[in-house]
Amino acid sequence: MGWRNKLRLLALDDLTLQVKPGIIFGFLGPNGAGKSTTIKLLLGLVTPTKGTAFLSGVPVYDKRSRERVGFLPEDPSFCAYLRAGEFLELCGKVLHMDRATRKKRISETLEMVGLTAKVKTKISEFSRGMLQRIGLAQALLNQPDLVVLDEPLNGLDPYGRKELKSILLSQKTQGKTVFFSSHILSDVEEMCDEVGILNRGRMVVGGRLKGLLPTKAVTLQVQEMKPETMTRLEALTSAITREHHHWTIHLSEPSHKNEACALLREANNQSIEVQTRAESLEDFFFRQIEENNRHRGFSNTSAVGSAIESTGAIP
Amino acid sequence: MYDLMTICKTTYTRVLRMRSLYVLLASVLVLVGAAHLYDELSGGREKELMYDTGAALLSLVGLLTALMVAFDIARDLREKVVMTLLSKPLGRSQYLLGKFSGVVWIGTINLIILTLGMLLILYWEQGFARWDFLKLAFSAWGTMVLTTAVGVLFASFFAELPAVILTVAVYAIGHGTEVLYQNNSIFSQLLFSVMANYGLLDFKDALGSNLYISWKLIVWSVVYALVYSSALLSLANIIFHRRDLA
Repeated sequence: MGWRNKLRLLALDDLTLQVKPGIIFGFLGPNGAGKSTTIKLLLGLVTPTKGTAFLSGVPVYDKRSRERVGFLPEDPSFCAYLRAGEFLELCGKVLHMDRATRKKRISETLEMVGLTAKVKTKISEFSRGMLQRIGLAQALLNQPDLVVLDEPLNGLDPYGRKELKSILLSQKTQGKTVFFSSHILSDVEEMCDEVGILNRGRMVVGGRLKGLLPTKAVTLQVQEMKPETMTRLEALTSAITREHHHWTIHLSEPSHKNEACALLREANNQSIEVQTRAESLEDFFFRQIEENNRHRGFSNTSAVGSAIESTGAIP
Repeated sequence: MYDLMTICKTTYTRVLRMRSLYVLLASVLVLVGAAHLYDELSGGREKELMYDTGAALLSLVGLLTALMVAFDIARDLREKVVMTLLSKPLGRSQYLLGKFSGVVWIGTINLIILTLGMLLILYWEQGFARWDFLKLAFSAWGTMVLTTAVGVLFASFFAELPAVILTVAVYAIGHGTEVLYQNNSIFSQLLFSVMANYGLLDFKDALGSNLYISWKLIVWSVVYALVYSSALLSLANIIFHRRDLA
């Protein structure tokens, strides 16, 4: 699919994405990759110049596709002149909820996000974290089947983040689908069943998190290292570092383990400590983005959508 | 229709909570309350002055209320409030028409209050009812509806300030379309043919000079305003539908 804005800037290019119901899906990508554009496209806020998109089988240009969807935008801003209760009342009406259900759900969602005491407070008086909470309340008001959240963890303190994660996990246990974009990869790794990584408008990789991260990062530790051994190991390693009284050899591929061990034994018959660990989502993310940029002839240091730039945004 | 009414009520609430509205109404009350001073200020023409003040206030209140729609829509777009609302099953047309209706609603209430107040003052000061002031009020209502539609059109693709400036510009130029008509340049003629003709709705001078203007003429001028407003709203709707809310 390809979307272009009025200035003919390529906003998104060839995304193809499918999300299964009942899961938490983490939508990842560097700044400028097209995550927010994808979300806006799914919600009918941006019109594609080419391609199609569906929500629960309904085309996104049809407003009925949004009947069972809750959305929390990035850096939310709501009707500042309304009180929290009035704003949710407005959302309930737009969602065609009847008066009794509206009243019940407003009370429930305010309690869920910890804003019951603020029901009569004007939204203009809300802090960044409280705006995020009221945003979540409006997104969950009609108990939607799909919850779409654009950077929901931004602006929340550690307690807020913990509560939000708990709410999102509870949505999953109720059989709802949660689709969210985030730069906080540790949280994504903790919560998501599936992830998709987007780079410069194209899906780099996607699927079940457990299946995506099978690669083991292997490091070898030895007490001594001769310069000629180091040279011979170069082709098999990504880095060799010296820490205190031992050398650490980071293998570029787990499959190089036996060959590297044989070389080390041959050079100096010493004990080798082998450490194997699963690759973190963060490592996986950087590797995928960098490989994708290399493959497509982009620099990893370019301004928009670069993996290097995004490292600054990822804690 | 339900969605449209929901947005309409919210817009009404928003405008009601704008401090500027109360400053405006307070100024009107001061001007009306100072009516007894007119005979000292006008050199014996207090009746005309009072009537003209009432007519000017109708225009001013109508214009300022109408401008609120330009502020309101453009601000919703700038602050991305509209993204939250339109991510729900709310059509863009309903949003736009709801905003328009909300401002027209509060503008109507403002004009009714002002008209009743002026009728009372005129009766009190002049000793007889000036029912022709109702004609003035009705044409002012048509002007307010038309200006609101102009505001909606500009707010659908401009930021707050340009939208308000352009709305005021159309209001000002629209009151002088006969100048465009008299100028033979192609640009002037083209502008005349597409520009809202506010002159058709302006009966202040005629009614202020006690000339007879029939209700039929007043009604037709308001019908013109409504038809022109519908065209502007349709255009705004097309533009807003094509607009990316990014």
